[in-house]
Amino acid sequence: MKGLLKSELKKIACRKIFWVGLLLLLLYAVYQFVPFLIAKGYYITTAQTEEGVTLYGREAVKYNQARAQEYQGILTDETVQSMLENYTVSTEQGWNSLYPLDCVSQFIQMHFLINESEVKTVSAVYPQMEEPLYYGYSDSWEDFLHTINTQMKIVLCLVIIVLAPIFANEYQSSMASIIFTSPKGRREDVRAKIAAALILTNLCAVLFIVVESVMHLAFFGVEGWNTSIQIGWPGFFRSSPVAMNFLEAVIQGIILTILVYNCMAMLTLLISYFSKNTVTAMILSIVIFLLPSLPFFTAAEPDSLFGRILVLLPFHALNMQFVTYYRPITLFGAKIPMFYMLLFYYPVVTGIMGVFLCKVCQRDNKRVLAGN
Amino acid sequence: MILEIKEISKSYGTKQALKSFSAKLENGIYGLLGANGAGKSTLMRILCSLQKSDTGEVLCDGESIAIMQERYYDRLGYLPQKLGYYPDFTVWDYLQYIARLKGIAETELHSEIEKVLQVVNLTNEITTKMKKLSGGMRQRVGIAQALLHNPQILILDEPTAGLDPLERGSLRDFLGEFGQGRIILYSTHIVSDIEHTAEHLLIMKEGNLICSGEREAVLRSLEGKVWECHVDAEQAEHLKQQYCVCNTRTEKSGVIVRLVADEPPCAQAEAAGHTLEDVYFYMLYKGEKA
Repeated sequence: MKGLLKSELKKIACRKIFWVGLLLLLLYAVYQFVPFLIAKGYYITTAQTEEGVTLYGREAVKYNQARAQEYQGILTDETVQSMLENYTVSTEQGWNSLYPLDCVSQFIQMHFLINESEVKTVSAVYPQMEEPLYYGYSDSWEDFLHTINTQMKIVLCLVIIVLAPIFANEYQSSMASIIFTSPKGRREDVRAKIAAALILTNLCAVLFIVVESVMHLAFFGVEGWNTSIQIGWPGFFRSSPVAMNFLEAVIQGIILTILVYNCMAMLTLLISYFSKNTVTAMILSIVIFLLPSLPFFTAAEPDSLFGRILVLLPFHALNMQFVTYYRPITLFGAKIPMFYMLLFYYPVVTGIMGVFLCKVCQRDNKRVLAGN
Repeated sequence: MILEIKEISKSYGTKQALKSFSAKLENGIYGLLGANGAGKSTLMRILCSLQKSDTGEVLCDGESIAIMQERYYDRLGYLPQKLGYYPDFTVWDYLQYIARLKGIAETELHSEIEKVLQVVNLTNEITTKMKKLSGGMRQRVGIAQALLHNPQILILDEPTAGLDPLERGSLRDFLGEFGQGRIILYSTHIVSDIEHTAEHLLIMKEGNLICSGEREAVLRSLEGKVWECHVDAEQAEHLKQQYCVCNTRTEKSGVIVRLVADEPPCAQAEAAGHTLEDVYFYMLYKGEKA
């Protein structure tokens, strides 16, 4: 099968769209990072000091990280009070005159201030949490998770486009009749196609995860890795009931990305085989992937069965914000977080699709081959 | 090696492509002749197990090819009517892939590919991309891939399509040599392609096998029955109504009508040597009249 695998990889490599798409996406990933380096006013690379001096870029990041470090630790009402006292400007305007461009002041303003004189408690801001939260620097980690979520969805669309012709093109190019009349055409070559598809898929996933990770870590460092995901002034994870820090969220996000990618790859191959048309396979796979982005598929209560079913869909499983939104499921007395459900679900579904595809190719000799 | 085709029928909706087709193929070269839509390609796809017949079965040495599967493909080389290829693959890449599909060991790939390229005279095009080849060259690559792994059964669907006369002659010569000890079945609607090569003939019309047998025997059936008549246009029309006309040729002096008849059809008739083309036309004519 090694020889056939090389041939199948060569077929993919011959497609210009793969290399052009890959290059464009890499450039896009880098381009997305440029605002951190040069833009002024971008929230996580801007800070204002006590003296009223505005900092940008790495200087601002270092400043924000230092400010957050002063309050690092379990988030209590006393911590919040301390933050308020240190950031209050002695004017008649009270708490509304907090320094606006500092990660600590933004955190307080965003989550705890009700009005000039009232402040929420930690339990009021995070009613879903039973475990204590760990405060620390969070801006870059939250942004990283958000960027990975968006970027990897786009990359997956490229992967689908590249994989769609794997079976379909054999019919469209009239190669299928030669392949299926060869001794290794219905078994080894099918496995080689699947293996080539999965190799390409995983390489793409790893490449982009590495590129994004290296850019973020090189610029922002690892500060804040152990901050609870609910902390962070944009608040993407504020409502999450899951006790988890950002490093754990990133690791789980990467694992889920790999699993979802492999599952979508297998689904695309199945559609490619049955549709026998590259464009149909491409469009159908992308629609199946993107359909859950519609509003109907996003709104659900944290304890709802519908919501938990939605998380099983690839589009949402790629989004850690969605995955961590739902409470763990209780099974036989044990609380199982959604991540572990997905960790089991995706490999099983991928495996079933792969076995099914192999069996169907082996047995199918009823179909009239297009173009012959 | 014996390939038995037993009562194969195949329909596409209301159109019946094959009607109880039966034949027994032993080692030798079989020419499958028929007009477009006669069912040749359908028969070949069934013989290659690419399609299932509605009824009947195909046996290879007594065993159903549907059960044999990979063991049957191991013996089979197939050139489809429309050759598939990958435009950006070179000739080498393409044959390498097919060789791998056929289970040729990596250590033998190089020698096997060179061998078949020599047969089709394409050794100089080994690094040329498939999309850059002419139609005839691509067809020769197609023939080359069918020859990989030295198959015992070679099924070629219109192998001379796109080939110039020289290339067709070369292919005929090659098949004559290659056919020793093998079953070669190749289809065409051009009679001259199989006239000098095929040892056995199978003539199809509208899904039916209307004539089969050794070439010499089939040809002999028309001995003394082919006539050429030098007549005027009106007489030519009259002859067309009454007899099986194989060819008409208009010259300055009139029309020369070549036809098949047991007796001289008119005073101007002269006996002519019979060819396979005459046999083909006569068989189709008989089928229409029946």
